[in-house]
Amino acid sequence: MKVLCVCGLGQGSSLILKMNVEDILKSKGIYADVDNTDASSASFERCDYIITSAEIAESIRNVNAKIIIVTNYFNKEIIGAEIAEIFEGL
Amino acid sequence: MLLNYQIYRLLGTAMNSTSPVGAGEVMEQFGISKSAAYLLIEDCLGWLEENVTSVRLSVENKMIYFKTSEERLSVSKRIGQIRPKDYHFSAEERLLYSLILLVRSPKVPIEGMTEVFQISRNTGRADQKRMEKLLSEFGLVLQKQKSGFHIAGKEYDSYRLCLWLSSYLLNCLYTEQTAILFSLYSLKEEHVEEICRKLSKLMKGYSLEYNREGGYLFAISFLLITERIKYNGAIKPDEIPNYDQTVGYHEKLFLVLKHAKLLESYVSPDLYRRDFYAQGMRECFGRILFYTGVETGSDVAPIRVAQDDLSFYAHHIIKKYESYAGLRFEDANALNQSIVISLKTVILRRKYQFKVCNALASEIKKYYSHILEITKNALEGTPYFEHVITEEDAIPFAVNFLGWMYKGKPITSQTLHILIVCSANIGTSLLLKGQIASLYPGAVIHTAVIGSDYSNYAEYIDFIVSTVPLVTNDIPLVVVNTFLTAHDKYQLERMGGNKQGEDANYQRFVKDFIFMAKDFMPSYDIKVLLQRLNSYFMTNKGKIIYETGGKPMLGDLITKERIQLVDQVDGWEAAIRLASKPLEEDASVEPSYTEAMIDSVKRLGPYIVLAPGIALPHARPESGVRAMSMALLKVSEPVYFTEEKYANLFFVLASTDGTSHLDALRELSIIFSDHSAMEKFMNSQTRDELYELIR
Repeated sequence: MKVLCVCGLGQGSSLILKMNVEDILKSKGIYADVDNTDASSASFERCDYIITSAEIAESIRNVNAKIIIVTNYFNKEIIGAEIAEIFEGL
Repeated sequence: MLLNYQIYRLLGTAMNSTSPVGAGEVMEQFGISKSAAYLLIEDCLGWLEENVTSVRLSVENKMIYFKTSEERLSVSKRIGQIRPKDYHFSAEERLLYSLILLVRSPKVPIEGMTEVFQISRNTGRADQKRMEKLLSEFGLVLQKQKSGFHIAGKEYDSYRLCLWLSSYLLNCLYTEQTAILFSLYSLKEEHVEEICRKLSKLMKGYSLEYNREGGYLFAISFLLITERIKYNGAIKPDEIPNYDQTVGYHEKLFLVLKHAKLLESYVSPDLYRRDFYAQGMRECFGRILFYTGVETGSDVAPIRVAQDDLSFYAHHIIKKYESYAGLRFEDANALNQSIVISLKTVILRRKYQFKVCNALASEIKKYYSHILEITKNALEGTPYFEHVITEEDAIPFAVNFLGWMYKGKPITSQTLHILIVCSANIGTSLLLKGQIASLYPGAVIHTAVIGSDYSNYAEYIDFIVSTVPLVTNDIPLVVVNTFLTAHDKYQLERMGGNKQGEDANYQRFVKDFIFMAKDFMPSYDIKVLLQRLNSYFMTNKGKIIYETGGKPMLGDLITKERIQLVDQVDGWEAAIRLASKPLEEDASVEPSYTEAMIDSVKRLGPYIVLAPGIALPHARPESGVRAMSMALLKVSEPVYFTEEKYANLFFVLASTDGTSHLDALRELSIIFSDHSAMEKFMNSQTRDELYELIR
């Protein structure tokens, strides 16, 4: 499974999100390929899920991936609840 | 539910895995989509439920995991009992099964096929066409009579077909798990094992090497051919092409065959008592024995090719490859020996007109087509290759070069000790060794052949890596694919813990490089470029050195002077400008950077608000960053970007490349993963207090 964390410029916020998403998935025993990038590349990457904020989500056009919006990049509980469908599907 | 090829492979993977196999691993191994992976797992669970009652797996988990060895045993046992009626044959398997049937029996009734496979007449006709096409590649013809189908053509050609069929079974279809060969295709495992054993023992007696893979390949071909001899009679010398002019096999091999008494055990005595039949059979089996040895990497006998020395040609091929690929191989003598064996394989292939399926061929064509191209060019001009060099010809050489290119840096000191156990097939052990070396640079890698006594290694080996399951007596074992999948690497990493290679600086460089390069090229190109860089550093004895010890931490980037506290500001633009001021003042950023940060919010919206109350304004380095830096502004009154999004804390981020600030960001993330952090920040009244929080 491939998960992409996206922010505006690919410089920082997506990395924070990526670190937290990785930790959450690992704690659920899920092995997934988590990567981060900026909004312009996100539309072309092949992945299952795109995790990002509401503003960025609007500018992403990706036919294959499911876009999930998170509201707090720092809080693992909130992120965990918002991305729950990733591990509930398993 | 019928067993099928995919379920069988999935069962094999699960039986060799120490952790649950889920959709991700299945997607990667089978190259299928996620939904297809779930379906396959479901089918597999369904089959297990119906057929192996002692295994209880939770369907909800959607993973396959055999916890105990008893469970694995029951699954193996059930597989050993599979008959054609319990199996759903894929088109490929139908082709193979039918050909094997045709080769072993004088006639195969027409209904026999459609009944076994439960297919329609149309499918049967399509199958027939494919069979005819395949047979024509061997100069054979499918004849249909009232009593049934049979193969017509020269006897030698049908022996060649038998060799090819065995290689297809072993190398292409059932590579990881051979158990089903013996149940589904009615081959007797005891016979195959007996033949392998006898041959290897006798070979050892003559100081010759003969590996298990060659043994299997020979044994299955031998069994198929002897079944054929039973009803078709043996082959006469004049039916064997190039009988007088062949390279011939070494006297030792001749003696091995004689002492193994294989013919006596499997062929009717009156056949081999007649001398020229015996000669014909011995010549054929001798060729196959010789060829299967060389094809799988054992150097069973010298080829005398007039006055020429094969290693002379090997040397030139290697030099040409080096110049086309732009690198230099270490340990060229050992490489030369491997290339010589590959040369023998291809020469014999042409002389005997043998054809064998190569397990690695499709992967190499898919992922390393550029290496294949270079290899073909390097082979051009070699005597014996005056005809067009096909891809098939180039593949054994490409495998050699790939394996040697993967070889890591020279070992500087001892860290991890890893034992790789292979069946001595040159291709597999080289490729595996190279990949393990890249995963664990600096590790000491030992190799051993299947069947050796591993307890010798128990003193100092950390773990064993193998492509087939082994009995290891307490040494931890990881079973992997020849081309490591992500799941394999995950399992290996779990084994190795956190031991890193010696050259931490190079590792740091590689990691950062990948992060930066991702924006500009696809990951496959990055990998290739890194391989080139690795060779470059090796051949030029280059080394990466970082002036400073590590990466800057949050407290280094946000100095006290860069921290500000105010009660309120007039809007978010003002907030960003204020927060950025200290950085403009100490010339870490240009004013253009501040404008760029504001601009990005105007364009993309307040995406910089990462959590309620926390904003991370930033822009691209090119927009005006002079020195890597960060700043903090605390505003007591919330600053609103939109109706819902607001921030009190503004962490300005100015980075110079893609990576150096990552550790600082990680720290930030850790700080705020604590729920009480926000409160502590808001309660701070002075610069010092804030600085304490981020230090």
